[in-house]
Amino acid sequence: MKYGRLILVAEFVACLFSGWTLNAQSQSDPGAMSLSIEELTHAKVFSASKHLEDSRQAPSSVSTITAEDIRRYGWRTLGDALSSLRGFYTSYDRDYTYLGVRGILRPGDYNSRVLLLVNGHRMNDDVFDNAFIGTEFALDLDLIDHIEVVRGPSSSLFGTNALFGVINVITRHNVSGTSIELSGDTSSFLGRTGRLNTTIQKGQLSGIFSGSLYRSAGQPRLFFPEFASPATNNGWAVDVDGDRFEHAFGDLQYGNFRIHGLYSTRVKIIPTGSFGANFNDPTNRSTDSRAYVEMSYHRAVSLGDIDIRGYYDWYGFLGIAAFGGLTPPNRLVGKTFGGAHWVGTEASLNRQIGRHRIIIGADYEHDIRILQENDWVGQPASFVDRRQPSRAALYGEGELNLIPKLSIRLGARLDWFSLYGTSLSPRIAIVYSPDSRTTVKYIYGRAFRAPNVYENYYSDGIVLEAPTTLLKPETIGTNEVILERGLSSWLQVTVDASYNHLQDLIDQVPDPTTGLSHFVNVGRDRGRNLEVELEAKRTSGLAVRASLSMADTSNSTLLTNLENSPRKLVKINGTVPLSRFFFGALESRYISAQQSYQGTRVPPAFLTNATLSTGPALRDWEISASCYNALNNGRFDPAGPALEQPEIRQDGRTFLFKVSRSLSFEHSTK
Amino acid sequence: MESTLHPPGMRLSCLAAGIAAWTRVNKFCCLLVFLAASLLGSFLNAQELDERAIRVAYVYNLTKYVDWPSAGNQLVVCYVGDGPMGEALEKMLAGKTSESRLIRVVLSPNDDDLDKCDVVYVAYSSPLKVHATLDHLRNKSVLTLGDSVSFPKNGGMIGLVRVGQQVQMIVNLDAIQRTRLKISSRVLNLATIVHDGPEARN
Repeated sequence: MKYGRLILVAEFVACLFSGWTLNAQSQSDPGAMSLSIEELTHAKVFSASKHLEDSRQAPSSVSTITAEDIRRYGWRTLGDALSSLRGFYTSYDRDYTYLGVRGILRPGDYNSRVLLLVNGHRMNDDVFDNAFIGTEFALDLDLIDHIEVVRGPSSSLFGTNALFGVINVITRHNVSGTSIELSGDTSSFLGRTGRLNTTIQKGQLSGIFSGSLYRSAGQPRLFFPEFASPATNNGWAVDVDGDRFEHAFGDLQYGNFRIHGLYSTRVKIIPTGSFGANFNDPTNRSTDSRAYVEMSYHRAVSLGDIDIRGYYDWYGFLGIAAFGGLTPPNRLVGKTFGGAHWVGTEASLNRQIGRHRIIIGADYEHDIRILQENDWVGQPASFVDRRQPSRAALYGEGELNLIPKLSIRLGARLDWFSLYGTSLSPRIAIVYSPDSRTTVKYIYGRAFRAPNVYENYYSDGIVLEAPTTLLKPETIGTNEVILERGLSSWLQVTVDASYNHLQDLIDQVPDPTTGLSHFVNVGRDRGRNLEVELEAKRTSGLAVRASLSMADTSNSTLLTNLENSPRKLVKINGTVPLSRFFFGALESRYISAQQSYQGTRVPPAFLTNATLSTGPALRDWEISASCYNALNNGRFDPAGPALEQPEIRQDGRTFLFKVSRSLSFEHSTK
Repeated sequence: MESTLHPPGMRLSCLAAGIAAWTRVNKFCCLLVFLAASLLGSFLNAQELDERAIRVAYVYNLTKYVDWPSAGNQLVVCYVGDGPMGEALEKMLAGKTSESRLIRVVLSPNDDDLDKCDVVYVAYSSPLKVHATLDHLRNKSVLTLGDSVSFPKNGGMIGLVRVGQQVQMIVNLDAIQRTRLKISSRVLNLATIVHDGPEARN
C-alpha cells in the first residue's frame, strides 16, 4: 500500500500521545436548569449543530416530532408526520410521495432538495437523490424515537441536498433490556403489516433488531377521466394499485462503538399509465431497494467530542413498464434500472473553548459504481451509462458567546465533486435571547445541490433525453428571521419570515425539437414566506398546535407563480387524554389551490384525521384505531411531468386498526 | 467510568486502517481523515460533559411534577452512591426553590435519615446496595431516582438513563402506585413506562 508507511507513522505518533492525558474535568452547565422537562428529553439537537443544546438556541427553526406524536396521531408514513408541520406539504401520484417545503415542490423532483438522514446517515441515494417519505421510506415508523426537522439551508454543515432543510430520523434506543415486541395492523384495501422487534442487553452490549412486512391491494377501482376511452378500459384502472415492502433494521452498540444498518425493498404497482406506459396494465411497477451499514465511534476526550464513521451504501431502482397495447405482437416490456454502490467516511471534532464552541469535520465519499440502463425485454440494452464519481468536503462552524444574551454562529463548508468542481456554502446565525422566554434569530445561509447522474446523463427516448450541456449545481440563498416567545408556561408562539432566492434551478423542460424533455439550469425562482405557529401544552396532557403558513413563490424570469405551490397552509392538531386508558387525537389540514405542471388549477384540499389510542396504563399492550380523511372530502394532488393526468385523486375515508404487545425478559445486572 | 475501558489510539487507527484497506479507495482525502482520527484518538481522556447537569435538571424538574402527601417547607434531596453525581446535585440544587419549597441536599444519609428524604438519588455501582436501599424505601412516599436501565425494573421509580446522546426517563408505574406519590401525566407522556421485573415483585 502506497500510504502504509504514513499510517505506521500515525500509529507511532498516536502511541506517543496516548500517555498524554489530562485530568478529568466536570463541566456543570447551569443553563440546563432553565430547560423544561420536555426540552430536557430532546436536549440534543444533533442536526442543527451537532452538539447538546436547547432547540430554542439552535441556529435554525427546528421542529421535533416524537414517537409519542406518531403513536397518538396514527401516522403511517414519514410524509404523514412531516405534513403536520408548518410550511410542509406532500403530494402523492400513486407511485411516490413528494415533499413540498415553503411553497416549493418542483415537478419531476424526487425530493432531492431536502436532506434525509437516519441516525445522521444520509439516505438520499447517489442516482436520483431520492429522499423517500411514503411507504418507500426504508424504516418502520415504530422504530423512530424522534424526528428532528431543521428548516432552511444547511449545506454549511451537511453539503449537497440541504436546500430547504434537513430531516434527521433518530431511531429508538434499547431502554427495555431484553425484550420481544410484536405488532400488527390491518387497514382499508386489504392493507396489513406485521412487525417483530427484539432488543438485547448484556453488559455494555445493547442492540435492537427489527423486521417487518407490509402488503396492500390498494384501491380496487380508480377512475382517470384522461383515459376515458374504450381502448383504455373507459378510464378505469382495476386492481393495479398494490403496494408492498419488506424492512429489516439492526442497531448494535458496544461502549462507544456503534454499528447500524438497514435493508428495505418496496414494490408499487402503478395505476396511472405514467411515462407513456399502457394504462391499466398490472406489469407497470416501481421497485426501490435500499441498504446501508455504518460503523461509528464516538468519544469525549480532552480535545472535545470526536465522531468517526465509515459506511457502505446500496440503492437499486427497477422500473418495469409495458408499452404498445395490452396484447402481442405490439406489446413491448421495458425495464429501467438505476443503481449505485458507494462507500464513505466522516470525522468530526466538537470542542468547547470557554463559553465558545467549534465543530470541524471532513468527509469523503466514492461511488464504486453507478449504473443506469434501459432494456426492451428480449433485446440488447438500449441505453447504458456508468459513472464512478467521488466527492470530499471540509466544514467548520464556530459558536461565539461573547455577551450573555447573544450567540453568533459562523460556519462554512467547502465541497468538491469530481464531476462538477467545488461549491462553498456559508451560514451566519445570530441568536438573541433578551429573557428566558424570548428568542430572536436571524439566519443567512447559502446551500446548493449538485446535479445527480439521472439529471445529467439519463435518456430513455420516451419521455426524457440527456441535457445538451452539462448541468451545474443549483444554489439557494435564504434570509430568515424567527421570533419564539413563551406567552405563558404552557403557550408558545413562533413567527418565522423567510426569503428564498434560487439560482440555476435544475428543472425538467420540454424540448420542442424532439418532443422529449430534459433537465436544464433555468433562470431564478424566489419565494417569500411567513409562518405563525401557536403551541399549547397543559399539565393535564392536552397538547394543541396550530399554524398558518403563507408562501408567495414566483419565477423571476417569467414573472409567473410556481407550479405545485399552495399560497396558504392551515393546520391544527391536538391530543387529549380521554380517560386513564385512552387518548384521542385530531388533526385538520387545509391546502389552498395550486397550479399543476400542465397549468390547470388543482382545487383546495381539506383533510381531517382522527385516532384513538391507549396510554401507558394498559401496560404491555398498545392498541389504536385511526380514521383518515374522516369527512370523506374529495382531494386532488398535482401530478408531475411523467403523467398524462394533471392531478391525481386521493383516497377518501380509510381506516387502520393496530395492536402491539411487548414481552420483556429480566436481564441480570450482576 | 466507561471511557477507561477502551485502549484508545490503537483501536481507532486499526479501525481506520481497516476501513481504508477494505474500501480500497485510498485517495488522499480519505487518508487525511483517518490520520486526523488516529492523532485525535490519542488525546483520549475521561471527560463527562453536560450529562450530569442534564440529570440534575431532570431532578429539579421532577420535583415540580410530583405531589407528596405531606409537603413541608423544605424539599430534601438525598444522594446515596459512589459516583460524582452527589457533588453536582449539591452544587446546582442546594438553596433553590421548587414550588416554593426550599431544596436541601443531603449526601450519604444514614438509614434513619433516608426516611426523611423526599427524593433519593441512588447511584451505587453495586446492585446489592441498590436493592438494599430500594427495599428500605419500598412503599414509602419517597421518590427514588437512579441512572441505569435496570433501576426502575428492580423497583426504583424513575431511571434517568443515558440513551445515545440524550438522557431519557424510564418510569416504573407499579413502584409509584404502591406509594401515595402522585406523578403528573406530563412526565408519563415523555417517559418510557415499565413495570416491576420478577425480582421487584417479591
